[in-house]
Amino acid sequence: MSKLEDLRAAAEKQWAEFSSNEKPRVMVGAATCGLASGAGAVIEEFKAQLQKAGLAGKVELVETGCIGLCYAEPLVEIRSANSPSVLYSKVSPKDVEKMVKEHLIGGEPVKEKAIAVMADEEYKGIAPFRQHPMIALQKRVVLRNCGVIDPTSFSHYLARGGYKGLERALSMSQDEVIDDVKLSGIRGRGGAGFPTGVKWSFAKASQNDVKYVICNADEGDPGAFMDRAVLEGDPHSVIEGLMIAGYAIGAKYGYIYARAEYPLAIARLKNAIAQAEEAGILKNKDGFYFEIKIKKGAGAFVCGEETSLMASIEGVRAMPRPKPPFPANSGLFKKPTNINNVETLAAVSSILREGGAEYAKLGTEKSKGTKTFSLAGKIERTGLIEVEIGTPLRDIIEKIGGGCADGKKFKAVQTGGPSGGCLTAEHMDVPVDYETLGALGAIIGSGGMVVMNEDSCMVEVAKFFLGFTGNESCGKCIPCRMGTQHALRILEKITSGEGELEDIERLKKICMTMKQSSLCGLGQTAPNPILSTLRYFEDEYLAHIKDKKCPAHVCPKLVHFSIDPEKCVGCTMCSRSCPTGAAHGAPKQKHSIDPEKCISCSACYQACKFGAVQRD
Amino acid sequence: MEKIHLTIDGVQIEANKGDTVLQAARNAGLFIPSLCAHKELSPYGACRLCVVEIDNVRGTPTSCTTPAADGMVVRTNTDQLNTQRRRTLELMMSGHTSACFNCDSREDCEAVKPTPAKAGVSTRCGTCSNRSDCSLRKVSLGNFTRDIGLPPIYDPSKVEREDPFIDRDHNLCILCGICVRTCEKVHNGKGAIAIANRGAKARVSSAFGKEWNFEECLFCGACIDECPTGCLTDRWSRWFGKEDGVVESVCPLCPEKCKINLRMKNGRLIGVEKTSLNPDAQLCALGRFGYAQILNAQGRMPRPYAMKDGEMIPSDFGEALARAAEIFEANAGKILIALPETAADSAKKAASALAKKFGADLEFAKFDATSLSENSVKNIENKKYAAAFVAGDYITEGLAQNIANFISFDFFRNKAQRSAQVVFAGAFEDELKTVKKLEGQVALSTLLEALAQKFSLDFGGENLPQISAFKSAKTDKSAVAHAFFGHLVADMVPDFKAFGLPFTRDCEDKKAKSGYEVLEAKTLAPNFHSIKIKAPDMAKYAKPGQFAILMANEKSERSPFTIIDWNEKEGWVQFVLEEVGRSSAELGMLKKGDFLAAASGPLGTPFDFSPFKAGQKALLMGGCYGIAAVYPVARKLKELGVKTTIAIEASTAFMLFFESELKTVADEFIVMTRDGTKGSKGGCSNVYEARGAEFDAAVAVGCVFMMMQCSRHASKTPISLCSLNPIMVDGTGMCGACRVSLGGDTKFACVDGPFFDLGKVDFNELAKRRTAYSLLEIDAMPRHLHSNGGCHK
Repeated sequence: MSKLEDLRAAAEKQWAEFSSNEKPRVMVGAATCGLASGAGAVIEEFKAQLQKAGLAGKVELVETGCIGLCYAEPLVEIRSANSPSVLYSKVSPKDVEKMVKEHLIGGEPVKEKAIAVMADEEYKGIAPFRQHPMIALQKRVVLRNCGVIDPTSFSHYLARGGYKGLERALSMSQDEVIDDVKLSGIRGRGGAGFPTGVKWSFAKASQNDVKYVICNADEGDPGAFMDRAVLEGDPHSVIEGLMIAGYAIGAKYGYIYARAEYPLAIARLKNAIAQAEEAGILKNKDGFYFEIKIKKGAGAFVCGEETSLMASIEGVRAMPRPKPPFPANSGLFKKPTNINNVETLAAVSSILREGGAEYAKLGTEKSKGTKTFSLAGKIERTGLIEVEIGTPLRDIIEKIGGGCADGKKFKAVQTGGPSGGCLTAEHMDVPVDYETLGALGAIIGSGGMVVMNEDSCMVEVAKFFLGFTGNESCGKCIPCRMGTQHALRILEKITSGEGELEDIERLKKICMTMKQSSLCGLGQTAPNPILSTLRYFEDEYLAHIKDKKCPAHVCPKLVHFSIDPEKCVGCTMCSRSCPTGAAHGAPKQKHSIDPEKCISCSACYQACKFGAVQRD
Repeated sequence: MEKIHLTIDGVQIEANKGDTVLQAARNAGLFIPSLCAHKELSPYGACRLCVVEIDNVRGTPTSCTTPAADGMVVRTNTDQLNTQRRRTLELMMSGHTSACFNCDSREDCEAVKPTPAKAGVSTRCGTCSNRSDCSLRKVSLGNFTRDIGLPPIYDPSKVEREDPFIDRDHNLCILCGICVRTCEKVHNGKGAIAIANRGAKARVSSAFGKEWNFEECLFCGACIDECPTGCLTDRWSRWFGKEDGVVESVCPLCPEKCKINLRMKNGRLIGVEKTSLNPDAQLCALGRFGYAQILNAQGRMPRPYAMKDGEMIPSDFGEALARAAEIFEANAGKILIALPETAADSAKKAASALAKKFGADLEFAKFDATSLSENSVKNIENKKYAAAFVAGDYITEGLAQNIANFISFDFFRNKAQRSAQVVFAGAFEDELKTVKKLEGQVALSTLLEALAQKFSLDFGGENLPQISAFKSAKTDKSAVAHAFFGHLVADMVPDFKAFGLPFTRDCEDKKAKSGYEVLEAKTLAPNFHSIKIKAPDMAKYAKPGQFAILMANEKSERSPFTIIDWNEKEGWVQFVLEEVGRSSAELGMLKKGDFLAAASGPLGTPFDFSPFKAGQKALLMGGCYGIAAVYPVARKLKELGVKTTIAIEASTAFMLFFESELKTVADEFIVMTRDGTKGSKGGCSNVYEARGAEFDAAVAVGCVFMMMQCSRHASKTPISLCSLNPIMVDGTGMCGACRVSLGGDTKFACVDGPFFDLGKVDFNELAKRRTAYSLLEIDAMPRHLHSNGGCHK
């Protein structure tokens, strides 16, 4: 790889230039999360303003990946010549002119928008990034490049140690690579948590002239976006991991199965694959030959299950098949196949670069390394984080996430998406690791964390997830297809006030059948949201069934709205917000709500500024 | 083959290496329940019934997908496994029309109703054409509890009947995937169907949910043959049920001459099946669906005819053969012999020998021709022939008149036969070996061989000409032969019109053009319809308990229906119909603005209200159509001040109807379902048994079985009545078809009834009389009712 050596030398030079403070620069977070918050318009505005100020071509404008502070998007990093970069949050196009004038030209950061400085020391009263509450407790291995490098730049990746893991792997025997991964203790980050090194050893042991490695990038859990961020922010790390896996098991061909809903991730991957081919890393006829194809998935949740994923690549209906035979023996096109998730492969690059022993220093006794989590739902700071496994839940929710949004009371956090379960306030001090969460009826899963507060109805939450898994069930096996339908019907019955006490037993019976008898993980884990909410919030179910009340005031048929005439000032806000004309009254007169017309949408309750709208 | 040894339930067995645990168990004669496993198809693992426990294997793997291994220790029959199986079955049954499984009276009911009712759609085993051959029943009856505790999931939109030949009712489907795997296997991996959509919407479908006729489906019927439920059915043959024998034969319909299995029942051909699941053994639509329909088509020649003194009179084969021989001898040198090239080789050889002997012109008509060659036609027009033997419908009536001595052989009547001297009644080559013989019918080869032998001809060594080039319809449905023996296939099997095949016979438009106008028509529950018709006279004279005879069109059977409601001022009468056969299906299809050809009524003796006094208590019990039929009686009783308790029963929750109407005339309203999915579990007889003593009178209206059950408790009330529903023709006491026995007396239900003393009726006899015509009723079923190629679309 002498060619790579040359490239790396050039890249390091380029990176040094890029990261030195000499030149002024604007960097905008332009992953899907940033773009969805309006980063596109901000970029355009910067182009226009730089042009106007005569700085076009003199100030570099870079698009980067997601740094994880989704709540603060669009994020912009600006540095004037010879000074550190300042990170700005929630930047809108109208802020751009001021930032260009004051910061880029004047050298004075726009303090009201600044949240951190990308330096070790405080700068003009702005705290360093590492001290930012969302960052301070994180340990970024997988995400180390995300939001830091330009994800379209091969040099950036290379300069930051990229492909050193591969180089080291290629200098070792296949078994040594596998042993190193075993030593690292990493377990599959896709959800099931199977030890990666052991999995590789199975595929390695399987004899065949053709073998495959697949990167599972079909991230389907509602509220999960770890893999997307990695693919968008650091695509080469995944390619490198996939190649290491390919080398270790003896595969020449790799597939990346990415959902079509991730167009930017796919574009970045394509770009990265082309770069790696150009650099002679991929399709290297002189050394380790490896090629990668991208397969776009059409958005079926079940395709995250490995046997359906392979069926989908083969071009047939994505339906799971029973194992054995395991993919390691008969997988894609009936050849030995190894499947790992995006995050696992990204971590593998680091493990091989730094050595398995280094990685094993992180985490707990049994759960090694770091894990990314996407914080979503009713939490103050939503975003993508990476912590050492074993970090207490409190640190994640309260310190990193800033607690519940709007100062509401924390109720629960759903971990592991629709296959997972919930943790409650009483679990705040448990370490987040595979064993502890498993014992509590939750899972780490792929890393989704959806926070719920006092306004969330846990029966409704279970219903939401069952509705999702019911729609996504492939329909092949009876327990999953029929079980999700019946469980959903019972939950609908309960949330509409028609539940009976026997329904709880019925639910448990259906859930057990699904767990024991379903064909694949989708059906086996689909009842988890019900079982775990029943475990921790049975009182909420009983309130719906016995008292016909929804304690969180969420279920429309169980919430009744009225107006307290003492408090009503006749402002008409309620009647104007009411979609059905149920809330009515003349201006400056007492208003009232017609229960016949009311659909319990809660619009009036939220609109009223005087607390006059009552609900029970 | 390498052998391995494993232990299943403590029994040491030997198995072939590579077998699954299920195969190993089955080969050793051990039973593990399963629905989706099929010995010729790849393992699938969907039904989850064959779960087992294996030492050192986590969870409960499916035995159909787990390879057997040496030294394996397997348990198939633990409490845990049986609980899992039962619950999986419960879940499966909740999505299948399974009310009969959960019914406590299933065995008794099926003894009274040995064959399922021929309903429009299947709502339970009792109305399912697959009942006699259902894998679900076989697997489930041992494992099943009768209380599934889950509401039934039924969706009327899952019935698909737009395609030719195939009816699909996805309410019966358990998604075992056998049809999909079969289709893939028999079409070399290129199946036309797959499972589409997800979750509750998942169903077997062609691409994009289009009609199968628009897609690659070749209508080979293999999927139907393998479907273990009643989801995929052959519309024409479904109600015949399971065959009582299978005979190997050869399809005569095109030059390909495929091997087929004839499905026989009571000496009649009820369908044709492929001989195996090998791709080579597949059939085309014509062979699979067409043959049985052609053989059973209307217009078959029952016996030979011969012309005597200018008149065609029935003859016998010997006489007809002698006449034919005379004609050949008398007209040597001026004879034409024509038969299709697809005729049996022995027939063609005998024909060649005859042609040689008599210097006759010989034509082997092209397999899908509908007329003779231009040359032959010209010769006939020029009166070249004094005699002709034509097998099939190849010449017109006019042309036949140019032949003084015309001999016809045909399976069906044709117009040229009118000027024939001799007409032979054709039988299909294998027909007489299998199907019940009709005196005088003869296969073409038998006829021609007999004729040749009459002249002591040796015809063994004749050379036969090449058959015209043809394309196999097994891989291209547009290649289906258009004609057979000169008759257009689509004229005999109308569904082939959907393939674009030519036809001459338009379907008759049977719809009545005038008569009794339908003012309102709606479907109340699957198979149950309400119609309101304009009939001022009937409305004027109707009384509670009376009925009317209705006919949707002038060819419908006459069937009696209880008058449910009427309005003299507005001049309308309302009926509730249950689809159980051809005529009720025709009534069920009527829409607002259509006409009924006939409605005669009110008929029957009205309900006798004279014994009832205000303050008395009456129990009215209704099942099936009786749910609506008790309404007018209850209304009048309530007017009289009688306290009415109405109990209704249905097989399952979604079959209930008319509840809001009944509540208006009931002081107490009780709902019973046989599967317990709404109200209490059981039937009206349970109510009668438990509470009969509270009442002064009880009235039961419903199916024979329901009334029979109620009759066991008839002594509980001073008055106990039922409304009988035997087969009826005129409804005025003339024909006697509706004869019923009551304690030794014979009564006519139409004039003496319909209400009779519940305790005295001989229900066993009534049940038998009602099924007397069941096979003929199947023949009368409007089989082309729903398809695109059919008449009524």
